[in-house]
Amino acid sequence: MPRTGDALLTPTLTDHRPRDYTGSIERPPWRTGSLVYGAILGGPLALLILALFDAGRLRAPAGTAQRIAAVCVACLVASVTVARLLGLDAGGRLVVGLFGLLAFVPVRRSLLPADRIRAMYAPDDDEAVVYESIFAVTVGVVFFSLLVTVLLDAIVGEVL
Amino acid sequence: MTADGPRGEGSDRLEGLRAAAELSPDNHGLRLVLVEALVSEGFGEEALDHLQALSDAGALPDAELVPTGRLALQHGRLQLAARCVEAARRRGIGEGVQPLQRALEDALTDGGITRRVASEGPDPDDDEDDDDDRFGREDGEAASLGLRALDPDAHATFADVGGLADVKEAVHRTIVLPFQRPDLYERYGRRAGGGVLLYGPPGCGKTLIARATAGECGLPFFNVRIEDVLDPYIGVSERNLHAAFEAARAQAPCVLFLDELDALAYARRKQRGGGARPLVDQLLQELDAIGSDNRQLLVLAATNAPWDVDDALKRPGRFDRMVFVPPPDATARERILEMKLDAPPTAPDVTPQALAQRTPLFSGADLEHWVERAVDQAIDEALRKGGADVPVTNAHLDHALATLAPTTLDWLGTARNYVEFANESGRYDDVLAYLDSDEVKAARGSRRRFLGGRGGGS
Amino acid sequence: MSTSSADAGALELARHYLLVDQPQSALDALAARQLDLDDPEVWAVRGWALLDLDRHEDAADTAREALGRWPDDVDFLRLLAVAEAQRDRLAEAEDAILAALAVEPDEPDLLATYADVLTRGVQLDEAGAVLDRAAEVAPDSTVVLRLRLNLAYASGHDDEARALAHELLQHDADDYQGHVMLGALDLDKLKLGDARERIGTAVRQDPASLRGTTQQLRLLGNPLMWPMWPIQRFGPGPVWVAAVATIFGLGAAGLGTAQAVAVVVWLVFCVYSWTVPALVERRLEREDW
Repeated sequence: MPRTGDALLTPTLTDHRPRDYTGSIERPPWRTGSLVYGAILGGPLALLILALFDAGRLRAPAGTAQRIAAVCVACLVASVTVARLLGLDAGGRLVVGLFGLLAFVPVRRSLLPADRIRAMYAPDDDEAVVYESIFAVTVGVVFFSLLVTVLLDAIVGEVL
Repeated sequence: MTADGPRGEGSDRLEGLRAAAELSPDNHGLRLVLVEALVSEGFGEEALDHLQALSDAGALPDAELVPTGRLALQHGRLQLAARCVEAARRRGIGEGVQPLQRALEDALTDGGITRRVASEGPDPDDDEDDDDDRFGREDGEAASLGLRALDPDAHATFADVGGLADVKEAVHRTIVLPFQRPDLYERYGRRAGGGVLLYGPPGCGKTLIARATAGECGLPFFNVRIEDVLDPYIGVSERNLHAAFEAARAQAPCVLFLDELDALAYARRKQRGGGARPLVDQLLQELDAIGSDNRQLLVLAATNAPWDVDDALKRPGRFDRMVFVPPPDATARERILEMKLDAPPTAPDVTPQALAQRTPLFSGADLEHWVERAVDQAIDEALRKGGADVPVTNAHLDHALATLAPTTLDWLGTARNYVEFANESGRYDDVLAYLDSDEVKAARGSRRRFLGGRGGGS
Repeated sequence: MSTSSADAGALELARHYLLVDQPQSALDALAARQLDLDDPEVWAVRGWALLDLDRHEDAADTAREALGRWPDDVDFLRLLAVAEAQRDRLAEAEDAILAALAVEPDEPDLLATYADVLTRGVQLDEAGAVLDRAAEVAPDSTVVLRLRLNLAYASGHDDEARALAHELLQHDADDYQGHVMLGALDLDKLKLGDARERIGTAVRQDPASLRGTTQQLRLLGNPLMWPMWPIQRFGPGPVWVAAVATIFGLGAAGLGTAQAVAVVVWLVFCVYSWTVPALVERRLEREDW
């Protein structure tokens, strides 16, 4: 097909694969609002893991994953540093949870377009838009992220 | 272009004639020779196209009118056949016209339903003056378009409609009684006539109810369908619709039935492009009897989608009376099943009453489809057994039922949406009452119950 | 060779059925006659009827076959693009629409279709740029306005979406998309009365659609769902924060009994929120057609 030299009219969707709305071929995404449980209980690291997976399932563009990573890493570093500086150990969980929640707001905002577009353009069928339950994954990711956060906390403690 | 034979395989002579006719389209004599050659080679459709062109040009000789009419009838070209009959009568040709006319009338009345033959344009054989109606047609010419009323004695009546007692009562009260007791109603300032819109799921007997209404009133019944009205030429569709109304008025009192009203009068604000708007405007004018007289003209209409009908048609004086025709109740289903199971051999334990109880929300068409599938299975079994008669059993019916779902479910789901969220006017309270009825509540979740075999056809 | 009058009548009937939103009847009318396949109108009516019936693959096949006869026909390219977009085959859709734009680069409908394809692919900045160009060419186009509305909602710019929906309603007070969008926005904010009114107006236009939305309205309007209002309105995050803060605050204030009660209430609420909505949804499904 002939193409004009117009930058606006050059292909950008060459790698797109059709979405599987029913969940029979691909794993369905999680509801973006449900990521908050991981964010509060597991902090920015848990949120990072869950959000990156969700972004992949929602077919969010590459820029979304980068934004999510930047926000979560920044909040993770900040949470560990602040907890350390405040000398919080038992209360460190609270700091982690607060920074997790802080990260959740922009992360959810980043995922919102992909989530809305998936719902808007789903086939017109009551059962078309399927979401997967996040409960089991959240539990696993929270445990993992807490372990990593403790390790990170120890490393930061050595450095500081 | 359609052909009823292989193209390009005719004789050299035929090809030569075709080429010559293309070069000299105004040479009518040559065209007639070509027609003769085409007919002898079996190219009837192509021959009719040329005869059509000759008729349009007013160049069809007297001697060719009846043979052309016969050929047209053979190929289902009823419009051309009707024009040939009309032209032959006007020119005083006697031989062969009567049998042709009878054959045409038989073809026009199919299964008791009148067919409407649309005009293709002004008849060049018609040298009568222009007349008093605004499309330049006489009332008689409307009849020459082929609109024929169904003989009232051949109508169904309410006795032929099983069940649906509420619908019959509503129709009787709003339509039949005013016709039977005009004196009483006039004393209260009410006249017979007007418009009534029957609506409901497809295949539930709206057309039958309309015919039965005509039968109860003892009136002629004109059936006008969208395909009988539409024409590709600008303005002709509107003219056809006007002609249909004029023909009905000429035979008033009568019932004029407009099927698929949503196709004829789709809401103007929903239309994509304005192509169908003039037809809606024309229908409004006809109902308002502008320049005409609708006394003793009862207009019935039917639709599966009353919410798609232009709102102007539902205003007072037009189709302001709406009657909901629900899926057949148990009594009606039993009656339908009795009729459908009358012909094939059935096992003694096959009882329509029991079968009717198992098929809530099934339309008449669904029941017919169900029985057909069961009969097919019995026939297959008979063939496997070497041709011996195998009666239709409950097993056959069970097996067929497992593959079907009522086609009314979609309509009911849509209607439920409408009455729940958009029925402020109360216009569809009948549907609301139906959805709240015990039979329907008991049938809720039917979609999932029948999920294993959704089919039903259209 | 000219089409016979019966064929012309069949095509006219099919075209009419398409105009009045009865695509199956349009297909039936086409099937009743063996029509002239050299008439692009026959292919166009068939293709758009198949699309309206959600037979997207068949519509795409029809468009491809037509393009085999009339390559670079813009209308068939657009049909192909729309059909493939509905199947979420966005690469193919983009290819088709760019081929059409190569022929008519400033046609606003084509640009709008391309913007829709890009929006489906979550390329929102690119979609916005294409719509800007379409708006330059056709500033008063409602097609462009509709796509802008979709884009604003998809991007999460709810205030902008609301304003655009109202602008659409100024063109036509009964506009379906305008009411649907406002209804969706009201539903997100749990303004159920307003949402019901908006959705009701949209349903009046097309009662067969919005089944998912009306079901959601029924769900949210069910009395058993009233305790869920905070979570539905604000989301689980803020509600959890408020609950946890309340519990810790009561403890910090030395109100041990109140704190214990708050913990119990919160636990009960959690169990309720995890079980009751699913049960209500299941009950509504059983009552549905």
